[in-house]
Amino acid sequence: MSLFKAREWWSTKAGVDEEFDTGCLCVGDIDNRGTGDKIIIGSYHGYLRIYEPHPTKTEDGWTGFQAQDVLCEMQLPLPILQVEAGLFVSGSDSVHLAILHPRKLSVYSLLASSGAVSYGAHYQLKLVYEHNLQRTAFNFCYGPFGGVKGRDFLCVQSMDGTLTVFEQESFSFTRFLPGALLPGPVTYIARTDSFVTVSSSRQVECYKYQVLAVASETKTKEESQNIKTGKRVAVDWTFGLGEEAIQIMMTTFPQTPPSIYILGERNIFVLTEGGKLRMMQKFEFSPSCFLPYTSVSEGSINCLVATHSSSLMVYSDMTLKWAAQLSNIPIQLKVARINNLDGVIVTLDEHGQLSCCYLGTDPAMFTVPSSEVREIDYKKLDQEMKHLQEIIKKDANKYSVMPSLSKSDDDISIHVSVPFNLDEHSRAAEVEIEEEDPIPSITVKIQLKCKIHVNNVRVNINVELPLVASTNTIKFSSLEPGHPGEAMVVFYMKHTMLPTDLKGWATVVYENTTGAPRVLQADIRLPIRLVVKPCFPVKNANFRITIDTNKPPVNLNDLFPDLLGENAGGAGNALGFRYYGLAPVITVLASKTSQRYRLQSDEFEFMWLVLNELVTRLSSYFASHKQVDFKVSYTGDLPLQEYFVIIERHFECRLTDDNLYKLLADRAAQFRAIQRRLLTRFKDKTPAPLINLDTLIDGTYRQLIAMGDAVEQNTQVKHQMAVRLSAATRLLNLLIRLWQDMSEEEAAVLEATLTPDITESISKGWEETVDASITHLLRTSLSKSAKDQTVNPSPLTLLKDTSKLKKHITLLCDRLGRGAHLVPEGSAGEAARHGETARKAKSAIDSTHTDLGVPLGSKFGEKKNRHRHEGGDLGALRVPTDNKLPPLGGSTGDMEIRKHHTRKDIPDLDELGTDSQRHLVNGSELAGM
Amino acid sequence: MATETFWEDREVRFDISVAHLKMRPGEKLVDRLDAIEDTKGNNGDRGRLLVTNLRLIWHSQTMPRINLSIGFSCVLNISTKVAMSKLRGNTEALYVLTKSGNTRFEFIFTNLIPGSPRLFTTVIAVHRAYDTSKIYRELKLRSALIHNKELRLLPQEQRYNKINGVWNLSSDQGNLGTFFITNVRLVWYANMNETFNVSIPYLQMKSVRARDSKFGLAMVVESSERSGGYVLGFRLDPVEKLHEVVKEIQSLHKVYSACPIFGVEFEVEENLPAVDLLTVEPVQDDVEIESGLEQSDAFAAYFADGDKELDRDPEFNRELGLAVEKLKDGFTLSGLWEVVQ
Repeated sequence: MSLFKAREWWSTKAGVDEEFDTGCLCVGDIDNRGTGDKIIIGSYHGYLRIYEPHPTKTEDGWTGFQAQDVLCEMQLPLPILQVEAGLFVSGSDSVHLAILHPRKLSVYSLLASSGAVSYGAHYQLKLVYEHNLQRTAFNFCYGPFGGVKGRDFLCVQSMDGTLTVFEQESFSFTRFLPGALLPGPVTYIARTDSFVTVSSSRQVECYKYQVLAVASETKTKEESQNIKTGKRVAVDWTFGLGEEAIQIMMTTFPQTPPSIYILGERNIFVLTEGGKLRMMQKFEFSPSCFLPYTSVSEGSINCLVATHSSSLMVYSDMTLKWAAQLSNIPIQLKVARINNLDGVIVTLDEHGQLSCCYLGTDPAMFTVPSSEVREIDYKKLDQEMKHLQEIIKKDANKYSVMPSLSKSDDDISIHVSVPFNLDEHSRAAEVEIEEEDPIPSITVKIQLKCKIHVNNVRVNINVELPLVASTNTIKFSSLEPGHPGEAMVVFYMKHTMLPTDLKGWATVVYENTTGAPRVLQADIRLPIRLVVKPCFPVKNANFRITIDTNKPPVNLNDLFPDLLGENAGGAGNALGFRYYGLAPVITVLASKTSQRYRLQSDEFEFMWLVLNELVTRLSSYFASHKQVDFKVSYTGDLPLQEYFVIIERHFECRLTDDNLYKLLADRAAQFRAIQRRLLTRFKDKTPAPLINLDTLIDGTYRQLIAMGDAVEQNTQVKHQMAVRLSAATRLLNLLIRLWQDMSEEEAAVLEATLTPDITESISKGWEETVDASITHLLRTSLSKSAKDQTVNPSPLTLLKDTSKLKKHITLLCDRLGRGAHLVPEGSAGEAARHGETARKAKSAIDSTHTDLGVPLGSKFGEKKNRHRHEGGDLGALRVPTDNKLPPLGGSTGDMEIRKHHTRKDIPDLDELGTDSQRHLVNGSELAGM
Repeated sequence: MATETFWEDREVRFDISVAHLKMRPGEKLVDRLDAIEDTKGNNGDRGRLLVTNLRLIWHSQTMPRINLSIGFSCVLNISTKVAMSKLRGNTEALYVLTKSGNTRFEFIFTNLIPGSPRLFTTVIAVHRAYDTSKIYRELKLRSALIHNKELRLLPQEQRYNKINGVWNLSSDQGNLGTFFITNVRLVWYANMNETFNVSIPYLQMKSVRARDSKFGLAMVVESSERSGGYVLGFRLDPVEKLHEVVKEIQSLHKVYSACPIFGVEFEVEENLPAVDLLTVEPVQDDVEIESGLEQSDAFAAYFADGDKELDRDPEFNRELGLAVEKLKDGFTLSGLWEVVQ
């Protein structure tokens, strides 16, 4: 918005519902009376109008448009594309009017007969000559082509980019412009006698008139205009603009270098006659038209630019000298001498609004005064205000900032029912296990009950391989309180792989009525029968594990009634199991006399699931027989050597992996190097022998493929090994727990340290993670003296060998065996546990504090039944520390909100004992890294 | 004279008397909208907008003396933009930019009934109809009226008479031409040159009489001041014919001045009650200001351009090479521009 406005001196609306565009406006002394410029406009609707504005000053300002200002109005039968005034008639030095119609070029003269009064004068347009055009015209330019004196020739550009030249009354020639697709603006340069246009390839092209003219073969006018082919015309010069041009103008003002002005869509370019860039300027607005109009000082050219935001800029060369607001968007600009005033700006917009303006010099500082306020009833307004404030107050109390997170607030509850029996007919599909018997499956019913109507509920089912679920995601578009959502999910073993975990999760994700996302989770405990089948027990095996109990032995037939198979009816002191698709047999032996049970198998890690099942079943067996003090213990040596073998095997896989990748990178580099050499050879203009490079590249390529296959294969082996390692770790953890009679809490710490989660990534592997965690434990809770308690984390990189890890694991078992505790004794309560946490993971606690500052809203999506935070998010630790520590710079208000939140979190935490323990260790792990 | 007091479509007036709010002869009510806010000058006040074929009238519902009358001839531009209304908040509003005399006014009207485009459609359509029918109301010289020696008739126009052999006395030798007399105007054109013609609607005729001139007895038509105050002389032979024609034109002038055809065509969608039922009920305020034509200061709120009463004259400026408004003493163009920059 400009501060200055263009002042309208004279204006009129030409025509009704008529359209105008570039070319439709021209000014000139068309009646040759020497009374200044007349304004000529032609519309696409065929109306030609000639105006001679006579604004006269009266008491109330300028008169503006008057009826007599129209010199002539005429409707021509064809649309008018362009009007120009020039010396178009031979033997006459008076100005004539050339009008371009789509298929016709006409030249008229305006004859004036003066009257006694100005409104008595009358004007007549007389056709002097016309040329019919064979091609649809686009625009035309004129000038003294070929250096002719005192005459203007015409050059019409057609829609297909041919130029047709008329030497006034006679046709001269028609020429194709090479590569023309769509026509652009065109102008004539008198000094170099050439035409400049901007082609559809967005470059300025200049053609010499002589070159165009010489290429002609004389034919009759009709024939020649009708050409379909033509000689290629050589372009004089080109200049790449990179955008479409709106207008081209040639300036030849005295004492300024002749310049070609080109208005692009975003830039203005000024070229020399030779096609070199003199100046250019990028606009921050979108220009609609322009006009280089004069030179006021030596060497500089003034130019008007109108924009689509209806403003008018005045540039001197590339310096902005003035800007004014217009009342419309002009499609063409002219500067004219009207009514004895020089420098009047004539604008025409596309609807035919024709204005003669001058630049206003009063800045528009005016702001609209605010309207007077009438009769405000203050009493009534006060009452309304009070009423509204009451409503606000009431509602403000109702809602707390935190949405309540208590369980009862959940709109949905999830129920998972796992049937006792497997499916009668297995529903397992696409099983990859080779086995005689069909692989069993189990159908689990998942039920969603809701209190209110909920939309878009999603249930995700997760289970660990080799088990799979028939579906991973269940969607309910809407749930009604009366109609619980139900889904049947089939679980079965799919891959030939050692199962390590029989647990699955069903996760419900939905949005509650306030739009907050909510998450619910339920465990799915699948029966061991899904992965294990009974077989004959084996006498001898490589590995044995013996566990003790404090109760008389139970008949195994009673313990595993569902897994007897061929052993049914046996004595019940030996049972054999086998995983589907895997050969090793796990034999369970129950001692008849002592209170011992033994497991034996050819593979160490295979015993994990069965042992776990045995311990679980024993516990539940005695629990159901009302014997409370039942205890399982392990007294033998920990099978560390067996465990280390598995670690070693897994680690070897990783090392191989690493080596393979290095080799692969090597070969790839080699391949690229050969490629490069070959390429330079092929590019060389003089052919040179390939010196067996082709053989080399072929060989390298084959090597690459082989390496890729090896990596692929090794990855599979590594995956198998990871599963075995996971099972072995679980087994070891279980044994340590039984050995030391650990509390749940301690077991969780152990589980988190010697983690069975074998996550493999390029940057981080199981060995270094576990090594770091054990080192941390050894230096903190298991340290012998305060001296050891320095926490000095080492970077997580691939270990050189596993000896250090093995040493650390041995040391861990050793310390545990000597009575050390992972959780300090007598710290059964939460407070102590967290006290220790605070000591162990100082940095973690710090992060807990900062966590207090996190907006409460960020916890909307917190999982409730199960917190599985990763890394530094010690969400579960937050609550107790909250209670103990003063707020960090928080106001009392903050405090209240936090307490509020705390109270809501507590019930959840109780359920989460084990999990929070896990975080604790995760935290210490972090600190140790 | 009747024609000179005809101001309705040519002026913007504020707080006019009840008498001026009444429809003039030939003026017709197109639409009435009852819940319109004058967002610029009377924000928060519910009012009524009357759209006639000549102007827009807005008046406050509570106080009819607060009113606006906007002649369509003054309207430069009508657009719809988002405006801030006290009654509706941010809402699409009708912007009417006008120029009356040398002052520009801007008006903003908001329809208080949400979702009703009637305000925009009616006003824009009627303004368009007004704008495209100027030839009914304006004197035209040398325009494209005649095609193949026949008058191009306007939609509501009927030709009453065609008289050959009429001399236009605007030049010394005179021009022989033809008269067309219609229910809207008098048209003359030169037989030799179709583009030499004149069209005078009865609305713009000040007087028609037979008078002596240097060419003998002639018919003299004087046009109104507003249309340029032209005096056009025509001669017809014989004298009896001249008197006959003068009489015919005089009577037509009389009839159509009293009940002009404005040529503003529109379709009324609903059956509106009779005009007199709609005109403002003359509710008497406690104080009725009978100031007649005198304007109140209510217009200040509507200035579009500031209170710049009059543009100063243009002059050629060498610095820019363009016509520029005369600078106040002591100012230079570059000085002004630097202040802005």
